[in-house]
Amino acid sequence: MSNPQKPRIATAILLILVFLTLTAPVVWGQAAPAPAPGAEAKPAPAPPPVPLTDQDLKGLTGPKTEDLAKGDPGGTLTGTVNDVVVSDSKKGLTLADLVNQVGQNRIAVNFVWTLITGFLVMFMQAGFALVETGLCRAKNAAHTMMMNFMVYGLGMFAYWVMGFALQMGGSVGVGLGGVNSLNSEFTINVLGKPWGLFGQHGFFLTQGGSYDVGVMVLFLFQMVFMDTAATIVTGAAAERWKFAAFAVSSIFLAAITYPLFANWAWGGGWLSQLGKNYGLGHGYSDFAGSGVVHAVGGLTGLAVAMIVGPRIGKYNRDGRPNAIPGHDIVLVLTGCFILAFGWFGFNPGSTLAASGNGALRIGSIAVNTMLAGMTGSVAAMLYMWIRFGKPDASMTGNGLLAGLVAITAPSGFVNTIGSAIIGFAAGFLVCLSVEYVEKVLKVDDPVGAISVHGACGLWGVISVGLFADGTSNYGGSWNNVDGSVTGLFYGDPGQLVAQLMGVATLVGIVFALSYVFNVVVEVVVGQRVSARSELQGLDLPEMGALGYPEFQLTTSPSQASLGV
Amino acid sequence: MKLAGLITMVIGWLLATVVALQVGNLRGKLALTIVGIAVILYGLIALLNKAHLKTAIWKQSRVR
Repeated sequence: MSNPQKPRIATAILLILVFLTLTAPVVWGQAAPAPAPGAEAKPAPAPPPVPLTDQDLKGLTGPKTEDLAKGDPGGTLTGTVNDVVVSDSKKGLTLADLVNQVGQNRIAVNFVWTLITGFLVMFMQAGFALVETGLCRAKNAAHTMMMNFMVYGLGMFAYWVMGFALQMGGSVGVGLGGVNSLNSEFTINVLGKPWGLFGQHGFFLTQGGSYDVGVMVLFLFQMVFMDTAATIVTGAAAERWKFAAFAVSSIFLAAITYPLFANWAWGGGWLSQLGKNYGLGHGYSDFAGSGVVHAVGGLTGLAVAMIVGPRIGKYNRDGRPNAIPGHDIVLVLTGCFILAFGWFGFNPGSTLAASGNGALRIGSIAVNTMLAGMTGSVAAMLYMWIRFGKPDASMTGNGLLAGLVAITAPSGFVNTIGSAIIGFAAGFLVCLSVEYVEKVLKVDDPVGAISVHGACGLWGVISVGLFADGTSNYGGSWNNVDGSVTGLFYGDPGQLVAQLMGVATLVGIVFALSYVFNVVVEVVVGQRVSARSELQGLDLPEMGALGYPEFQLTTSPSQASLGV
Repeated sequence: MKLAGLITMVIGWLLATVVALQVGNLRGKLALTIVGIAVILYGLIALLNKAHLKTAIWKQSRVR
């Protein structure tokens, strides 16, 4: 008996073949035609895989020389097989050449990404300088700018000599290719578990095999992060800090305090291994440094501000605070914008890669960064508007920075809802903290650095343990624990405990270490300028030149009544 | 007083980390970590900062 389906199938196949033949030049390579309804072609058995050999590459040819000589306005002749580097011209292109080119392209993309984002972070120094100088009085402009300027050079020197080695000297496997020489961590045994304390390779970027292209990229990126922490301190102690004391204190932060905590968090140290060793989530997780950079800077600022003491006129005899307004809100808000711009290097750059190991999450990280800054500024503006009747400009700027500081640690682990909430909470927190530091602690912080970077940095660390949504995947594991960082709200309370241990270490150890060292500086160098210098303004007594030499500076009536 | 504040802070850190890590269950770890942080803050605010406020510049009759 004949099958009535067969003629129909044959007709359909014939029609498809005719269609393909007619349209091949147009359609091929763009989209596969949809199969005709009812057609049931048997799939042909797949041919056995044929291994690709060097011989298969022999026929590959790029554009001809005469075509290239005409130029390439459309860009179609550039970046072809001609541009693949051949290791042996006699052999021609080989598979090994191709694979090496792919590997180098990936590392090159990651190098360029990390370097450019590092350059953005470096530019944040200009933002900090403008914010701090704008929030200080005009008579201290040169001094404040000079501190922000020289913290770059002094900090970099100390970090090059030893800070980088202490931080990253045992951090093998950061995904920049190479950097295998950074493989020596000093470890002690604490109740049966290894605790990494500091790295031992990379002094002067030459010792221990650290003269390496990947190490150089890593150094540049980590250096500008350290410098961000160091420059935060200058804001908290502005307008009364002796320049010599600032110099010594900054060198210590860059050489010891910052690298130690950064090693514990990022360099394979004990905090990062809390997950592997004790089952606490993925260990202390701080994606871009709310704790490592901002809390370290903010808490060191608190230590220095306590030792240096408040500015003359900041507090009345009964301890009530007086407002001492800055001299240029334009500088302040311009600086805030520069910082927000630089933050796109800070957070997305912390993947240290744009290719491979889940690094394409850089888009999500950048958006999280924007959103938290936005909600932070809105929250601070609303708080000030409701509480004091006006949307205070400098606090709104601080709200933006607070949101950015808070999202720095969780930016690589949270979704957009989480980042918006984290930023909004930080915007409120910074306003409350500024009042608390000023009125209850009675610590004078001219720019709000302790609140913006210290309080909101700690909030950022905690928020990882709450909001990390478990969707990030940076190579399948984080801190030697498989899977994604997941916070309490998404099912892992252990992560919150790890984050709180980070908070305890920041306040209990980093602050204490900074405090003790700065007490030594107080004894040896002296931290505070004389009252005469302070009243005159630090530009001439400390710097020898005025910030605004052609301007006649006057004291406002409200400040004149305070004697400042 | 300042030294007492610093020592209290370090004790708080030991509680929050080294001691808490020896506790078997997660709730115990969380509780000890929070207690440790509270001790650290006590050392910082109630002891160390208070000691600084005793000699605050606005309380001095004459500033240098």
